[in-house]
Amino acid sequence: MVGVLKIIVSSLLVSSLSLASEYVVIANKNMKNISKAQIKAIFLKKITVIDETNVVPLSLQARDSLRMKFEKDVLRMSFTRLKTHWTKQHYKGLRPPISMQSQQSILAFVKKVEGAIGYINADNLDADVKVIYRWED
Amino acid sequence: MIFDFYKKSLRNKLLSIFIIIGFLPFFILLVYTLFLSENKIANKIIVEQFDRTEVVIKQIDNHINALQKEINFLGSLELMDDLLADDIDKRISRLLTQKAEDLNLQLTFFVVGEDSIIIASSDKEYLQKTYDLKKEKELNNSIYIEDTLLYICSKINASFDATKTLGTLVLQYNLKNLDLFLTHQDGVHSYIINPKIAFLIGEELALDVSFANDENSIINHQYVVVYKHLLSILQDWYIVYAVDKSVALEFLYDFMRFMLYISVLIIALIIYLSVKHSKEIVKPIEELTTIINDITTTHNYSKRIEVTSQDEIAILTHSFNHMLQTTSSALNELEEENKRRLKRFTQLIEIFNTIIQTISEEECMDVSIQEIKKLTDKENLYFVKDRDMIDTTKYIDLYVTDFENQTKIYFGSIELGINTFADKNEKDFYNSIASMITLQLDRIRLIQRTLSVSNAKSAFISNMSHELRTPLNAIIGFAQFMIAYEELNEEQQDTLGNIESSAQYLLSMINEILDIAKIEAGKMEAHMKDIDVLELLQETYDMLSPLAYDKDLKFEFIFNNFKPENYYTDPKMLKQIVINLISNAIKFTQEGTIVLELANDDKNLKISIQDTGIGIDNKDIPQLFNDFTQVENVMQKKHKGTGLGLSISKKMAEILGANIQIYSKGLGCGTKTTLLFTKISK
Repeated sequence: MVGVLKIIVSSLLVSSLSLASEYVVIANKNMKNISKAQIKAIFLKKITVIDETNVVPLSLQARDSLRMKFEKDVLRMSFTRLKTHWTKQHYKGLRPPISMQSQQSILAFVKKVEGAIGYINADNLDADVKVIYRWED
Repeated sequence: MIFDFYKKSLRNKLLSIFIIIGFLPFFILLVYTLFLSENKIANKIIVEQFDRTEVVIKQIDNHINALQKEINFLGSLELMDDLLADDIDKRISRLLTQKAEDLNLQLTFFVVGEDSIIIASSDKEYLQKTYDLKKEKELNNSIYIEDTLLYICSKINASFDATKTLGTLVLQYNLKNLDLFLTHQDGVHSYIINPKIAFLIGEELALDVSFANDENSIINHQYVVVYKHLLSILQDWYIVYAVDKSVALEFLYDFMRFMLYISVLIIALIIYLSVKHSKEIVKPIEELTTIINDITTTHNYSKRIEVTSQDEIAILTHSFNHMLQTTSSALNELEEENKRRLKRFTQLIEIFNTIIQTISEEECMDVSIQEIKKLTDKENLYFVKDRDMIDTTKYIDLYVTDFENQTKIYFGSIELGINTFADKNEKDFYNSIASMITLQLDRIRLIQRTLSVSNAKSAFISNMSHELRTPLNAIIGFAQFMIAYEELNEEQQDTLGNIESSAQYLLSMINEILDIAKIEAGKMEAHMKDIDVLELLQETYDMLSPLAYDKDLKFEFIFNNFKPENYYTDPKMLKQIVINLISNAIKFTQEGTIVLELANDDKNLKISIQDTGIGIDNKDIPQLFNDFTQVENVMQKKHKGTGLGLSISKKMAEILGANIQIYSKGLGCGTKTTLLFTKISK
């Protein structure tokens, strides 16, 4: 009984937090500032090099809610459009961004790899990365 | 001994040949399987095992290549980018664990970061440990072996930047896994060994293998072993296959055992068949031998051997039958020839006999020619007096003896009517006939000559006797007349008496000589009639009794054993014979007894005179019957006589068909004279 209650309480907590969620697009510290349009271009692999550094966009798993939010809010493209886009790009030898399992891995990746760029929940943010863009629900 | 056994019997020879022929291939097969098949099979096993090792080596190589590809594939996965996030999400570890589980081998996947720390692994134990890839760097090879572990490495590059090395994916592979590829079954043992470190995967066997070559085969008492080194990274390793001989050659040994059992059966069969067939083959020969023996003992050449087969023995039998037939006919011919010869021989003898019967030269020649013609079936045989008349054909000369000159003179020739003699025998045949004819001619001539001489003598004696008798009769007559003349004195009368008795003696002598001459001339003839012998003898006894009485001799006549019977004979001659014999007995007996005995039985009539006189030496007896013979030592004056008495008696007895025999025990022992009629007609 107590366990059940705990779960209910914690879920309520999460939902209450998400209501006021803030998300950030992060990049390696050495990355210069880039615009939202540039972010979109990077994630669509229209820009691959910035300042002679290969950019490495990182996305989450396809069904991840954050990824869906990012696509809706930052890329402003529907799932169908993205699918069409990547199908076309496939023939040019371009593949969708590397997908990571978790926001932690994205964070670790971004810290380590120069040119890496990803998106995480703002709660997970730490000082070793550079925030390029922020948005809220 | 054994050699004789083979030598003397065709059957044994055949038997041994059969057995050898039947058994030899079998024996060779047995030896072959025993000594060669084992090696062959072993070699075959070696080849098979080499093939097998080849396959296993390939499999192992493929396996390792596949592992290598797998590692390379895994290393190239985009997922490996997670290394940059230190595999926080354990995605790589999960993948590696999943892979390790899928392979289900003793192996571990792990990823070594650039800082030699293991970031991800299929085995959690490895995480956060350090692994130094210096070996890989040393060898500059992505695959290497450390102790018993195989390491396969693959560099991981970032998917977004091929130049960026994220770390190394390492497969730590326990070589014991290779046991999977080894065969574990009855009789076949296999293992993989690295002789350098004496490490062995699989089932250990106590084998002393030197691994001097890349591959080799060894056959020891227990195993057939092959080994071969593995490929590429495992070059120091050898795979060894050992096959238990007992298992590998089991089939051979089974087969051998089977062959041995079968061989006993087959040998028995061969011996049985050999004995049977050799018997059958030799049987006709034995039969042949039996029949030949039978023929040689019985001399029955008409026998034939039955032919039952169509083989060489049948041919032999046929030939033998043919030989028998030839022999038989040859024998028959010989026999007939022999008969013909015998017949011819008897004919020849008959011819000789016929020729001998002839009494004149002409008759002899005629008969001879006729007989030769009959014998030889020739028509053109002629006797010619003159050889000069013959010119064309062969002839045989006849020579006869001239007895006066003791030389041969030519008599004539027989013309044979042929040009040449067929052979020497024919010539000899005619020559023998010729000499026979010559002999007969000689004989005829001799007889004629003798007869004419004898006749002349007889005629002379006869004539002489007649001429002598006439004056003697006158002398006797006148002497008797003178004695009766009264005026003579006694002295004159004595003288006249002497004259008269001498003349009488001379006359009787002449009469006897005349008788002899008559007999020799064949003019003495018997006048046969039925007579009473006893009466005749009685008369004789009575007549001669006075003579015996004069000499004071006892004279007896015995006829106890005489059955009165009449005999058919000449009484005058019989009486004269008896008188002669009794006179002799009286003449040669000075004192004692003279016995006249008459006896007869169914066949014989016997008249015997026994005296007690001077007797006679046995050796002189044969001479007694010669003309004019008295035995010398009794030739005394008082025994007067011509010596013709016994001779005449004997000849007369022969005319009557009787025989005179004289017995004496010696001088002074008396004499017994017997007149014996045998088979006299009654």
